[in-house]
Amino acid sequence: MRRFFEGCVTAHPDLELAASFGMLAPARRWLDEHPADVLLTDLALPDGHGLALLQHVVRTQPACEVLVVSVFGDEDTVIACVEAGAVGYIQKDSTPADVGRIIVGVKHGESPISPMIARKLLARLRQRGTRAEPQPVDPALPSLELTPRESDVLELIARGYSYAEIARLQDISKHTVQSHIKNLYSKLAVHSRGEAVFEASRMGLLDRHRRAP
Amino acid sequence: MQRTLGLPASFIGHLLCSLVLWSLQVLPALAQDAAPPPGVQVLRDAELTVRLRQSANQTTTAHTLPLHWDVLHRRKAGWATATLRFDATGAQRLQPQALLIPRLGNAYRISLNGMELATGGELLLPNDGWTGRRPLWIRLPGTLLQAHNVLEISIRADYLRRAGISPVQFGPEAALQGSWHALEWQRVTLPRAVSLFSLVVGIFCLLLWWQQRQALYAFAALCELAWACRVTAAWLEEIFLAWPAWFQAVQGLFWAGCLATYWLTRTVWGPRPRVELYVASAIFVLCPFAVAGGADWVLGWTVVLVVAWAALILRLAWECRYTRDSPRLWMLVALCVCWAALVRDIAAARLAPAQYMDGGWTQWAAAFAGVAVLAIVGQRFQQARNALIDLTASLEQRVLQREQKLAEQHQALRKLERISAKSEERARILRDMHDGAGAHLITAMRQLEGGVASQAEVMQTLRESLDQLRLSVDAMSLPNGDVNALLASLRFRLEQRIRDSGLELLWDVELLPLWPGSGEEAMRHLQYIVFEAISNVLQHARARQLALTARADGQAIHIHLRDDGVGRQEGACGNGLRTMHERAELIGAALELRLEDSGGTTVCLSLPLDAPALAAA
Repeated sequence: MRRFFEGCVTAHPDLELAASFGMLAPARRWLDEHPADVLLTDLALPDGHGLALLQHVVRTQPACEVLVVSVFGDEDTVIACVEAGAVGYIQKDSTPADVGRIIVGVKHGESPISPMIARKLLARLRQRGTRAEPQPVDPALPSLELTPRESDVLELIARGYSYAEIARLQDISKHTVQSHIKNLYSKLAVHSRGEAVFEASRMGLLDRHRRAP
Repeated sequence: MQRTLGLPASFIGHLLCSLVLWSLQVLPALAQDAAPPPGVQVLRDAELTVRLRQSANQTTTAHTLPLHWDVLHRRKAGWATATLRFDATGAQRLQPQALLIPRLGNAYRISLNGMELATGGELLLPNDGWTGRRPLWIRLPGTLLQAHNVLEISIRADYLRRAGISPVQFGPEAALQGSWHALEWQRVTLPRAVSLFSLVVGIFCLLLWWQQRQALYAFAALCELAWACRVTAAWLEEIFLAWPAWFQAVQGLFWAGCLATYWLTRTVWGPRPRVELYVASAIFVLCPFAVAGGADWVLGWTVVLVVAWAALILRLAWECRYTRDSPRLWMLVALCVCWAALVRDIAAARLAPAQYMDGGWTQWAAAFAGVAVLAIVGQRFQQARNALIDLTASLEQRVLQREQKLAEQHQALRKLERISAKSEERARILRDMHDGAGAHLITAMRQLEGGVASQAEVMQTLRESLDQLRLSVDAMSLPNGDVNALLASLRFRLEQRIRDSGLELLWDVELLPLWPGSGEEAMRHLQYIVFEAISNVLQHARARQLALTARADGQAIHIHLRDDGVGRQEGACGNGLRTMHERAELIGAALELRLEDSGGTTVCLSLPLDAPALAAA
C-alpha cells in the first residue's frame, strides 16, 4: 500500500516524495528534523496510531498539511482526525490520478468534506446551541461559532450538494465555498484540540496506541 | 406461679361481701359520728305525727331522727310532721343563727314558733317532684328566736322515693357554714362532676365509634352515657316527668346501662358461652315487664339482676385468674366496684334507717367505671394503632420485595433485549456482507477464473464490492429517519463512479422531514433501493443525464430518479428490480417505474409520513 502511494506521488509532475516510512517512530524522528508540505499517514501503524503522529506534526510543523489514509472514510474516524488537525482524508482505493489531484488541491486551499461529516458537525453545533451549561473548555480557545454563510454551506453539503452546485445556489464562486470549508476545518481543529483527545479515547484509538508503543 | 397470679373466685366473692358490709357499717358511721362544730346543736329527738294515705288516723310518737320513711313505713305513702323543741340563750338571740337540714323529702314546709320559714314542693300532691335533695340552709334572724322554740317540719312522703327527715343542725351561721359547704361539695358539686365526666367519656367513645365503627366503642359510649344520666337523675331536683313515668325512665336508664355494660364485657372478653347469652337476654327482655309491674316487681327483678351479675363476675374472675390482659382486668375490677356499690345502695335504701343522709355510692362507682372505660378504650385504640403500624410495615416490606423482583425481571428482560438486538444486528451485517460485498467478490473471482472478463470489468466488480462495504458502514451511523443524510452519503459514495461514467447528475434535494417509524433496517432497505436504481442507470440505461429529486408534502417523502436513457430493457435488470420491490414493500414504501414518452425511465419512490400506515405495512 505504501508503494502505491509512493507511486502516486512520484508519478505526479507537481509533487516530490520527501520520505516514506513503514513505522511511526522513524517518521516522527524524520519529521522532527525535516520540514514537509504535506503528510500522508495511515492510522493503523505497526508501532502506534496515526493520530499520535498527526497531533505531533500539527504541533511541531503548523505549515504541514496532514491527509489521513482510510479504507472506509467512516465519519467517526474522519471527525477525530479533523479535530486533531487533519485537513482531509484519502480513500485507499482512490486511483493514482485522484491521489495526486487531492494532494495538490489541499495545498491550493481545497478541503474535502463528506456530507456525513458536515451533518455531524451541524448536529454538534445544534447540540452546543441547546446545551444549557457551557462546555468546560479552556476559555482561551475560540468558541466554535459559524457565520450564517458557513452554516448555509455546511447545511447544503450535508444535503449532498457538490461545491459547484453550492456555489451556484449561493451565488458565490467555487473558490469561496472552498475557503468557507477550510475555515470551518480550522475552527473545528483549533477548538477541538482538547476534545480530540477525548474523542480519540472514546473510539479506543489511544488505548490501542498505549498497548502498542 | 398459678397461685401468685391467680385470683380465686371465693376470694373475689369474699372481697365483694366484705366491701358491702364495710360500706354499710363503718363509713357512714365515721361520717355521721363526726362531732358537730362548737356551739352547734344537733336536733334529733322529735315528736313525730304520721298520717298515711287513704287513712284518717294520725299517730304521734317520739322518734329519733333521721326519719327514713321507706324503712319505717314499707310500701306506704303519707304525711309526717316532726316537732323539735330547743332552747336559745340570750346571746344566741343577738347574733344570726342558721338551720342546716342535710336531707329532706319529698316536699316540705318548715315553721318556727308558728312562723313559716320555708316551703318546697307541693305538700298535698303525692308523687310530685322531690325537693330537698340538696342540703337546706335557713338563716334565722335573732328576733325570731325565743327562749323555748318549737320547730315544725312537715313532709310529704312518697312510696319508695327515699322520703324522710335528717337530723337538724342549729347554731351560729359562722359555725355551721363549714358543714354546709362540705355537704354542698359532697352532695352537689362532686355528683355533678361525675355526671360531667361520664358524659365526656361517653361522647369521646361515641366519637371514636363514629370514626372507627368498632362495637367496643359503641358499647363503651352507651354504658357511659347511661351512667351519666343515672347519676344526673340522682341529684336533679327539677324532674320533668310525672310519676311513675319518671321512675320508669330512671329504671330504664339503669337497665340500659346494665345491658350496655354486659355487651361491653362480652366485647372485651371475646367469645362467651351461649347459655350466658340466653340468661342475660331473658333478664333484659323481661325487665320492661317488671318496670310496668311496679316497684315491687322492679325490686325483685333487680335482685335477680344483682345475683346474675355476681355469678357472671365470679365466672369472669375465674376465667381470667391467670391472665394479665389489662382490659379484662380493668373491666373485672370496674364490674366488682359497680356491683358492690349497687348492692350497698339498695341495701342502704331499704334496710338501714340510719343511712338516710347518705347520697349513695353508685355515683362514685360510676366515676371509677368511667376511668376503667377510658383505660380499656385507650388500650384498644393503642392495639389497633400498633396493628395498623405493623400492617403498614409489612406492606412496605412486601412492596419493597415486589419492586426488587420487578427490577430483577426488568434487568433480565433488558439483557435478553440486548442479546436479541445484538443477534439482529449480526444477522443484518451478515446479510449485507452476503448480498453486497460477498456477492461482488464471488463475481470477481468467477470473472478471473473464466478469464474472459477484462481487467476493467473485474476492477469494476471489486469497486462495487467496496462501495457496498462503505454503504454498510454508512448505514450503521445513519440517524433513523434522516433521508437527507442517506441520499447525501449515497451520492458521496457513488460520486466517483458517476463521474467516471460521464453521466451528469442533477441534484435537487430539499430539506426533508424525518421519516417516522423507520429503524436501521428500513434505512438499509431504502439505501439499497436508491443504490440499485442509480446502479441500473449507470450499467444499463446508457443515459447522459440523471436527475434526482427529493420533495416532501404532508403525506409522504417523494424521491424521483429520472434518466434520459434507453428505457428499461426487458429482463435486463429483472432480478434487481424484484428485490427493489420486495424491499419497498417491507418498508411500506410505494415504488413505481415509469417509462417516459420522451425516452428514459423515472423511478418514483414514496415514503409515507404517517406512522400508522408504516406500522400497518
